[in-house]
Amino acid sequence: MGVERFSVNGVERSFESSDTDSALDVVRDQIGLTGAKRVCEAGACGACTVLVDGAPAASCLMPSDTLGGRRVVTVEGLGGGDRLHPVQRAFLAQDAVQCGYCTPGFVLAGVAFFEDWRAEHGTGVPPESEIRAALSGQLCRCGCYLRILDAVREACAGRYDDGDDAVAHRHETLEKVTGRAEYTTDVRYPSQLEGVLVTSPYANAVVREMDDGAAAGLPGVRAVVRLLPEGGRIRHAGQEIVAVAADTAAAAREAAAAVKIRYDHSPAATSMDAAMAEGAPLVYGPKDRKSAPSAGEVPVLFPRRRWRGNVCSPAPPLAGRAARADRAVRRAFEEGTGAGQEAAPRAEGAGQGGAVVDGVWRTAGQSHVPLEAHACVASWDGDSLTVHLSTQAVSLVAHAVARRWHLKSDQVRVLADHVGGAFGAKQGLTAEAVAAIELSRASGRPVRVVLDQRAELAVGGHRPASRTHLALRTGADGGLTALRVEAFADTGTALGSDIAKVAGLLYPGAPRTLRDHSVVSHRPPGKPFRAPSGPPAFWALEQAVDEAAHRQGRDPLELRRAWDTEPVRRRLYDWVATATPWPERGPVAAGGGPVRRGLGLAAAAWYYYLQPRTKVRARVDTEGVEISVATQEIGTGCRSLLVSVFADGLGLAPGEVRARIGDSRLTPGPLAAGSSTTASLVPAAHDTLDRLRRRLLATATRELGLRAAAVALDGIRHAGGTVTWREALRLAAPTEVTGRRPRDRGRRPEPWYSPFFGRGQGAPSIVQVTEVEVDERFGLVRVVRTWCGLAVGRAVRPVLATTQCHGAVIQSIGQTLYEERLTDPATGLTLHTSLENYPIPGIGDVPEITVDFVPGGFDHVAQQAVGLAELAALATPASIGNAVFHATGRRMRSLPLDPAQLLGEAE
Amino acid sequence: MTHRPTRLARAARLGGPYRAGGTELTRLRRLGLAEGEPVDLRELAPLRGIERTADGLRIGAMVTLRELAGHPEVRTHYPALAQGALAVANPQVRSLATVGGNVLQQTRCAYFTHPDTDCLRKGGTDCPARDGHHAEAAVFDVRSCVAPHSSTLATILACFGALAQVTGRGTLSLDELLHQETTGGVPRPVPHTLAPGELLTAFMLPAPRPGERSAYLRVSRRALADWPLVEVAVRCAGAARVECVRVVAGAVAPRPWRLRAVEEAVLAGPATPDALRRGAALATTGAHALPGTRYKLRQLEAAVLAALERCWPASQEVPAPAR
Repeated sequence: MGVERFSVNGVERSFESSDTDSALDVVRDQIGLTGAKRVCEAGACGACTVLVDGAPAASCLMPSDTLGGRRVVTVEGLGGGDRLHPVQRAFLAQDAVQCGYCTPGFVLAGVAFFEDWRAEHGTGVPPESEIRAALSGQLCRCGCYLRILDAVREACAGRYDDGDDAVAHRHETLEKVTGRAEYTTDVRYPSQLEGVLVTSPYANAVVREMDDGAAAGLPGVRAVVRLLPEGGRIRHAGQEIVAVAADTAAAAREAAAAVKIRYDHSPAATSMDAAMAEGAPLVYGPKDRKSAPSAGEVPVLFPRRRWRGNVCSPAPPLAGRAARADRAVRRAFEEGTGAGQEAAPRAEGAGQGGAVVDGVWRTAGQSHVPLEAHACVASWDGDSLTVHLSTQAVSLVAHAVARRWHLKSDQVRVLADHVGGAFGAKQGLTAEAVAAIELSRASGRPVRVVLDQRAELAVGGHRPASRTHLALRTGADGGLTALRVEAFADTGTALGSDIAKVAGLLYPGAPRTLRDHSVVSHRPPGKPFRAPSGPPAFWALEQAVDEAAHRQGRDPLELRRAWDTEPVRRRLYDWVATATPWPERGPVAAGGGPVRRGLGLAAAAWYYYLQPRTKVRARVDTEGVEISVATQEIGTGCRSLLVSVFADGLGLAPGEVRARIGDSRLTPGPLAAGSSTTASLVPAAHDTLDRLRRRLLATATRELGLRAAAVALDGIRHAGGTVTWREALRLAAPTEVTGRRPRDRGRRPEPWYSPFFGRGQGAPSIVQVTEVEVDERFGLVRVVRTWCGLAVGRAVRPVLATTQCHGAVIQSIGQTLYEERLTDPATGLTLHTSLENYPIPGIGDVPEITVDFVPGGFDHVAQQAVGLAELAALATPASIGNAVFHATGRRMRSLPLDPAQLLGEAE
Repeated sequence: MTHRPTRLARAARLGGPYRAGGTELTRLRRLGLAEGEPVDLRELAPLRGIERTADGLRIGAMVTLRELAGHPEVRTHYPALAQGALAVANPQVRSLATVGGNVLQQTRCAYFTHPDTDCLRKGGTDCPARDGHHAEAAVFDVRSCVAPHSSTLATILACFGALAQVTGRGTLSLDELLHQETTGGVPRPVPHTLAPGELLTAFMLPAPRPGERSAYLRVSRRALADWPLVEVAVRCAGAARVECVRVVAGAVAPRPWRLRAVEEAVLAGPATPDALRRGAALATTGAHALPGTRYKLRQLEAAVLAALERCWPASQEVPAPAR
């Protein structure tokens, strides 16, 4: 340790250096500049980037004792005074921010490029390839790359040099581009402790004995808590056993290493095949199956299910419509070529009776890996508990905490001001929160627990891998006569999969048998991931349909038009014919040479979920209007949706409307799940707006003695003129109204798993056309361009909605081309340790993406506000698969499309 | 406490662990695999800078990848080296990481990097990747650890015939620097052969011959900032006829792997597309792919051909890898 001096953001200051700390430890923890984020700690993600003597540097890999005398700039030090740097302004104006956790790194890398570019080229427009290369060390899990490219290019070109009038598309962008946004990982109380988890290296074991006495006695250690009792069962490697809190993270890690645990370990089922094998070790006995968590969007609701070993299946229907459909499907396939249960892919003519397309389709597991890991800061104050949590469900978690620790609801407060990505992985009360709460209770001090990235990749959440047997039967006229889908999901220790069911969403009419199995194994539980079960379903179905079209010699678009009667999607098929290059598509495998282009088409549909009990509160005070609701912003822009409803509706500037969310004590609001946030919040906000306007009308009429007063667009019209909304607000302050989400017209939403979560009428749909380039020499696929047509009623904020679609497509490109969760077969360990060896798409992998919202439909929903976050993640894989077939004449059946498969050399 | 020697002799006496840019040592220390107080090398003048010498170019071990990729002398006379340096990692790592650190780095194999696994490089008795996941493994000389050497620069420096200057050992070839066999003839699973106290100070590159060209080709799944699955460096001279050629492949063996069969097949012959293709077809001579790495043989052959074609372009443009 030594005291050294360096310059930070133009200020000379001293810091404590050591040979063990990194520059990030100094900048972030010692000095408190939390714009620099700790994510991969391997130099791969760029979230910790700072400028050192003008050049971007990975502060997580830079030793702290090399900082002396250097000139460091962090995101907090950009711009001058209260003026933003042009790159920051460009990020505001181009909507180049989603969850915002990667934003400081991107902004700094962008600034470094900007300064170099300006020095050499003035305000010339930089080529895109140079911007991509300069930003290649920054990863964004939300997939905001195209907006970021635009922002950096436009800033370099001089568009944002002057003025501070750039309009942010999002309410919180300013905080995010300046590093001021406080995420859970940034929360710091005085006297706060750091908590670390001790996890199991074994996949199948019983904890025989624990000795944590030595750990508890180490200097700086304040609490040791057992999360599993002696005799407790380990079902996957990485399962949490003990938690330790100490004054510093280093002391806590040392204490964790000193906890001695003796295990009785047994052979484990570490893959789906191993778990299904004869005599495989059982993950659950008959008594403890109920303890399995859900891997789906909703709790597991198998009315009748049957276990065989590690496989949980629905019981076959005995009677009724499903049983009749089963029989019809069986008959249809028996009439064919006898295509039975065999696994080999086949697609044969079946004489004059049409054809059977039958095959097995696989997808690999995909990790959520949001850049902000699962993180919690818990603080007890007597019997009251404050929990800062990186979560997509402040209300739900507050209920769960109250139940578990036997507290009244007003004794618990869950806070999430900003959330650095979630994608489905942060819905419940998970181990980091339990550990932080218990450690805080035991120590009497606030405790922070943040998963390191290895833990995040192991247990933070993943989309289960899958194997889907899909057969479709066509009749003599080429129509669809039967569909059979049997899907096995590789759910780890969790349960729940709807792949087959989702595959049944398209092409209504033909009889179908849809069976979903969960295969449990000794691996971390799968979790709902953006459109759970969706991508594997359409990966199989939409390639099979493409195959059927190819067999019939028909245009795949025409075949879908013939098979699909849903009016919403028929509009999308028309869109394909007019807005994409599909009509100019040539024959299959027409190009010569090693690098071939292809065009693929896929359709998909999703559910319309809503949270009918959503309320929104508006409070009017002297400073303007404050909107509040207990929801949370995970990168979707929900604060901005709320603000825009009131700013537009009352003729106010966005700055005059404040949105308060991320607090479980506020008016009950939606969790971020099932793409239901927009569909829940926007109608509720409009109801609140209507109530508020009526309140303003009443007050103004009374106070001003208006005659014949009525609500109009620009204010209150009356016999003597118009009272503006701003004026009416002043008259009414202080006041408060609460609106609720109105019911949809027509049939009521079907309550899904609780009164809080329902499924409405109608199927949001997408049709996507993708162009790929396949390099047959190296087995590589590049997505060149993609066109997405979405039918979601009305896109409430088209710019934000487009940004979100980009993200869904880019995450799906990751799933299609790169991402594959690897588990060591011998030990059951998740092999990935950071974003250095778990490959998500970077800025170089992103195609041009066109997003069109094809209006119409959903007239029964107030404001026609329907979500799209999951929908946009469904069609990319199959559209790429079909494009690869078009380019090469070869059908790929497994995700991701790795070089081994493309070169025909897969194991 | 970090040591900051100012003289080579003192640095050698301290014995390590040596720290250049710190990116590699930081990783190894977090894994608990580099004990002792770091010996920082940045005060050592002989390790710095790039300079022209009587017979070529001297590149100090402490030169960062950012400096290397941008150096005019390197870009003009050793273009493959500049291209390769620019392909390594990403800008914020390249501004810290050094030439010496890159060449001497440990494997990135996931089994090595995971703290709960044992492997040959961590004192274990076998290689878990062999029967586990090994899609990124080597295809040549996989008798012990199956991981390939991770250094792109080592591959390219070997192609240029660079010599390493090491205190106490004089000048070493890349092979001598990185490869050592046990008594049984099996390669030792180590990233390099330097003993404690032996310090890599610089690489000496011979001056380019008249008309010399070079090419570097990297095959990776993601377009930017990704590890290579296969990489090939070619250095050659001659227009219609192949006057001299050296072909070295990376990410396919425990050390830079010279493809002598390819060199011999094309040397002194005509540089026609057919001849180059026949030469490239020998790229996998002596390879032994594991079940998960057979695809690399195809990639290697194609990459060698593409790199040769870059040196001797036929009438039409050679497409870059579609990444």
